[in-house]
Amino acid sequence: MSTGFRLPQGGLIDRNSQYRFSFDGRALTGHAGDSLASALLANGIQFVARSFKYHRPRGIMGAGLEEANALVTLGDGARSLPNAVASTEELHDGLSAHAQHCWPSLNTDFGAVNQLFSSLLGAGFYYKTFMGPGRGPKSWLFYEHFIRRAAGLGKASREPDPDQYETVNTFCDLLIIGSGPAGLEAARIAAEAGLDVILAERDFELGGALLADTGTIERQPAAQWLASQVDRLSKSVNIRVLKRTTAFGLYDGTVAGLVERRDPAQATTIPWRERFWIVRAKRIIIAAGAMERPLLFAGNDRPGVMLASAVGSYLNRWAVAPGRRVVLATTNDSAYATARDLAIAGLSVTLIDSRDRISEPLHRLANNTGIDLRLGQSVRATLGSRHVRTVDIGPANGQGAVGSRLACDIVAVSGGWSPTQHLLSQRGVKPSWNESLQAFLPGRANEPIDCVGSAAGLWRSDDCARSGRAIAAAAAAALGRKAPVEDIPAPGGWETPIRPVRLASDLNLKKIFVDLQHDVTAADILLANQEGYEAPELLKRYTTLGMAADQGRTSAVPALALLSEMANRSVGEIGTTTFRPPFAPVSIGALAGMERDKHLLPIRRSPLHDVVADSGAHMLETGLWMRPWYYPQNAETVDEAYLREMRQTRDAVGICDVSTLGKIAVQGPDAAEFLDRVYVNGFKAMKAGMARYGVMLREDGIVMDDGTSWRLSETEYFMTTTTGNAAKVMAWLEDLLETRWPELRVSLTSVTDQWAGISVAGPHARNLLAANIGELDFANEAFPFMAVRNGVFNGVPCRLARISFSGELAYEVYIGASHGPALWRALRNTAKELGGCAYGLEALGALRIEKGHVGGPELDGRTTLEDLGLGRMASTKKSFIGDVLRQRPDLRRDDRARLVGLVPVTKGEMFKGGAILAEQGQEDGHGLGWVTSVTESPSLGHWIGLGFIQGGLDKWQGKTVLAADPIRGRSTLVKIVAPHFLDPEGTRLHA
Amino acid sequence: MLRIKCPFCGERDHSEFSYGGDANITYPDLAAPMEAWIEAVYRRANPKGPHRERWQHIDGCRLWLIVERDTLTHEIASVTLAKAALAPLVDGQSS
Amino acid sequence: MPDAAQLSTATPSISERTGWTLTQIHAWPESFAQAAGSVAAACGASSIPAPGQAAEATDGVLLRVHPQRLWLLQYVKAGALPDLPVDQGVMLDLSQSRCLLRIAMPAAIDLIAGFCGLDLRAPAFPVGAVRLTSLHRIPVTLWREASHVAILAPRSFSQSLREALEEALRHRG
Repeated sequence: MSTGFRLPQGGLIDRNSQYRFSFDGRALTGHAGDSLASALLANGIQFVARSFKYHRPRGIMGAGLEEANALVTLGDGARSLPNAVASTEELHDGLSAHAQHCWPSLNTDFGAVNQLFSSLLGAGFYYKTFMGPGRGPKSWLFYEHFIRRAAGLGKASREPDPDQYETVNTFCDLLIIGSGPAGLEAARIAAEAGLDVILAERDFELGGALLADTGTIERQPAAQWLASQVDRLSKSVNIRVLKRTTAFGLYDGTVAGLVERRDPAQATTIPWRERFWIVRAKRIIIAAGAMERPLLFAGNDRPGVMLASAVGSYLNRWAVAPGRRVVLATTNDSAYATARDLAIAGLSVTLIDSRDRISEPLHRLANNTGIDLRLGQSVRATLGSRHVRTVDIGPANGQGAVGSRLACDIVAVSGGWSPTQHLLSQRGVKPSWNESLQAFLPGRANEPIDCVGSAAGLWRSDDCARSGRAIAAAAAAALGRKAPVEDIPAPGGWETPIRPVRLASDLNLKKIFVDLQHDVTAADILLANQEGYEAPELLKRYTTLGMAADQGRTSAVPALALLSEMANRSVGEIGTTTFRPPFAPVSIGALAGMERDKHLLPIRRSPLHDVVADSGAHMLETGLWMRPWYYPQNAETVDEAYLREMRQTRDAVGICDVSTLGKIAVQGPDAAEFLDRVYVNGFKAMKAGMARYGVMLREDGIVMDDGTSWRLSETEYFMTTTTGNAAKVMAWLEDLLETRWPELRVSLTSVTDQWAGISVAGPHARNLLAANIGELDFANEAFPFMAVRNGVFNGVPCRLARISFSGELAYEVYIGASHGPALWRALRNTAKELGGCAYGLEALGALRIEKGHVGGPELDGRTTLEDLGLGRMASTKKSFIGDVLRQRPDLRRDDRARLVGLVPVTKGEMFKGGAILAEQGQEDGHGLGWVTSVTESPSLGHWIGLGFIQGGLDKWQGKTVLAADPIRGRSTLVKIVAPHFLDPEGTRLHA
Repeated sequence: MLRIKCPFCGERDHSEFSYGGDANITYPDLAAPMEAWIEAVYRRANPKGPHRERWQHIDGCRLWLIVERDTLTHEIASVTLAKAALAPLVDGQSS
Repeated sequence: MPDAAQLSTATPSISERTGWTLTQIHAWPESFAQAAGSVAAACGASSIPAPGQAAEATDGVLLRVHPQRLWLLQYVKAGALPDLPVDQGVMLDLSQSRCLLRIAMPAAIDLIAGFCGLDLRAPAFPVGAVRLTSLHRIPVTLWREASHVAILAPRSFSQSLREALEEALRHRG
């Protein structure tokens, strides 16, 4: 039971607005300007969660990102958001929140039984326990099932994210992260100097610590100073102010990643839920403030134990008193302001300071406000079941018994302050420990990134403001602008130094929680240290300290202080771990932005896309392209369709959309020389009006790609590549021209999209084309095999080559892309009349296997020309890329795996690509080779395949081996044959 | 996100470029002896520190560039065109 | 400022233009000035555009897309350019290879900023600036006109690009 309540006046809330919200089904109200946490506290609710391992009751302890306990699930169904930090969630009308990680309810949680097993659940327990009889993997898998159910905090929805997200790329001169006094002054100075500024603030209000400050800054009340700053900002033209925007990562090139959350009151007018900003800044200023640290004592995790500054925020910003009897425990000056504010609000205040002596002004403050001040004391333990009831205090030096037991309902603690320099740490800048301030201060970056204000270890508001101005002026000067120069204040600013945290020797270490979110206790740290995990990186990974969603914000320094005591080394010597992005959790949806579902990747469509769909094509995604896969007639399956398409093509004629092939225009006086250098065979001597099949090697002698290049004129070629390698070949050729042979006068241009391409194959191919293409003599002598000719279709010029992938009489015709659909329709109609059809990717691949033509599966990046049976293609009259290294002895061995054809011994059987070839009875090791391409052959009436086997045809022709396929559970006996299954003399080609 | 200043296009995200390897290799004649080709294709210094390397501005002008980048800090010291003959066509006129 | 943009319907803001021709002129380094000069004169451009610049041509625009390359975009079917001798350079028709989209200002800037990391602030992207970049992983050439941003994108990606831009426009708040 908690005792929080709303004060009758004050606070930055709009008391005229009434927001309805719920927690665990309970209807509650709050105001505009509340956070979820402040509204809960105002309603007397503090116990909101159960801890990770031990399911201990936990309550709100912070007022911002330092909150470690109050993780709740917001919303329902597809929009449920687990692990939402209540103190950073803006209250809005209709907000629905639930406790998580408890069953059946927050109040009665069966998980609490874990506390009885706490000695089994210490640091690294899963390395040492849960090894059942047998010690094999099975016993761990048994326990893992239960552990996995218990792990994690909230549960994520399994449904697709229904919200929209946007991405914004932008540029600026100066990015300022944080809108406290340092950030605001930095923005003002930079803008006055004419810089283009972005000011990002995580909170929904600007001001940072000023929002709860009842003191003065630059001789004005903080609220008034802040109001005039905000007013000036709203009128500034070169400052973009981003509220509700968290900078989560800093990257190379002073690029920052930020996520902006939508104002919940605008949920119906702003369509995006979050926006991902990628800010490319010239300079960055981190004004992210500092976070308060808790104290270490038994039961320091109990609901009611809060950070002192959080109590001050709830009091001053939200007019919420978290309780009525407050005990503040501190090691430094900062808690005094909160103590005074609590006393002025009429609450009972006891202030325990672990220091023996304090400055005069602080004494006066305590006296004037009726605070019960006790010096030289610290908290030993709290008592209470669901909420703090009493607190035991004793001498701060740890000697002697407990001094007194005080009744209270809030214990407000301040163990010191840690500058929020995580973003700088992400850049690999190691902080340095300052012993007198008991804080890690940011190091110096080699990049234009600076920390200002409390993020640089300054505690006084005036100093923070001045440091913001000074650094912004230096930034402006670095960018060539004028700004008034100021000195940068030195870190610090307390009147009385802070006292380091020391543990009293008689405390129950198992009840001292260091990492609240992961339930890591002082006992765990002691254990880790004893077991040798002394370095912070090891301590972190062994105990999971600092690895929860709060990334150890409140636990890092206390843990190091403990380590330092145990290991007798200074914190500075021990060091700290590196922080990595994101600084705070980021929605995957925000990072994806629009790139999801239909727009995950762009889709690339052939110019014939719509018209082949009209012809009945079922499409297949190949990379980014959509390609026609097969054209089913009368409800055919894909297998029935491709076999019919093959038959019709070989019996009559088939047409196929080949527009996706890579096409490159190679122009210039040295084009011929260039092709001669990149292809293994000759292209220079080839005459204009002819085409040639060419193979390109990599420099190491392995085959890279194949295609056909047509010579259009003395100085122009039309090169085609495979669809899959088009981009790679283009980049490679450009590389050669620019970096190796810059003297060659060659222009390369991708024309893949310029031309629609249709392959026409089969005995009636000539008739089909002659009936549709004008101004062109198709007779065999006029248009021989491998010739290139120009024609006209409906007044539009087109270019044709008589080339064949299928082994049939065949042509490829190219026409300007916009004219492709009309050409396709015309050819399709004629094909139908001739008893032919359209064929797709499946049939295209099968036809070339029947012919024994190598394709992608054979050109796998390991095979040479000789392996592929193409050794005779290599020219002996000129050198070419890869010519030298292909002649390395290992690439010429007789026992290399060479291309062969495969047929099943039992005609009705099939086998699959990827099967391993091996001698029967010797199915071990790597076998003798592998199967690359297979298809059913309608012409031959059985399955056929291509593959590679050590020694090739020379060793294996006519012999039988096993195509072993243990993973797919089938093995087939196959006979090795020549890889050309049909018409090896090529009579059809030359018809 | 490395920012690379393409001499033709100006400063761009590194994601617009494709890495092409060590720029310090002099490739021999196509018919040079095998040892020369083995040296050029396979042997690399892989230094810790400043490194001259080739990048292609794939999403922009598609020019090949020589970039001097520190392999430890990612600092980029210089970016020049691989094809020096193009420099006069670009120098002093960059957008 | 980005969050001040208004929702607008897709059709008026993004339009496709057809009926144009695109000719690429690629000159060798030593002959670029001469070849580019004669092209500029033939198409009515007052000068050879500098890298990343566009020059107005008669019923069209001359774009400098590469140290050695110009693209002549003509909105009206004009007479063919005079032949270029091959020892000066080569020409290539690319009219079929691309689609031409235009996005009205001011929506164009924020829309494009959602898809690529170009500096589109006015000083960095003035009228007449030409940029080669990628939008949604699609390589494009775009330039700033008085009241539009024009985009030449590969024809095979045109539907995909248009759909992505229109969806983004629908979802801007």
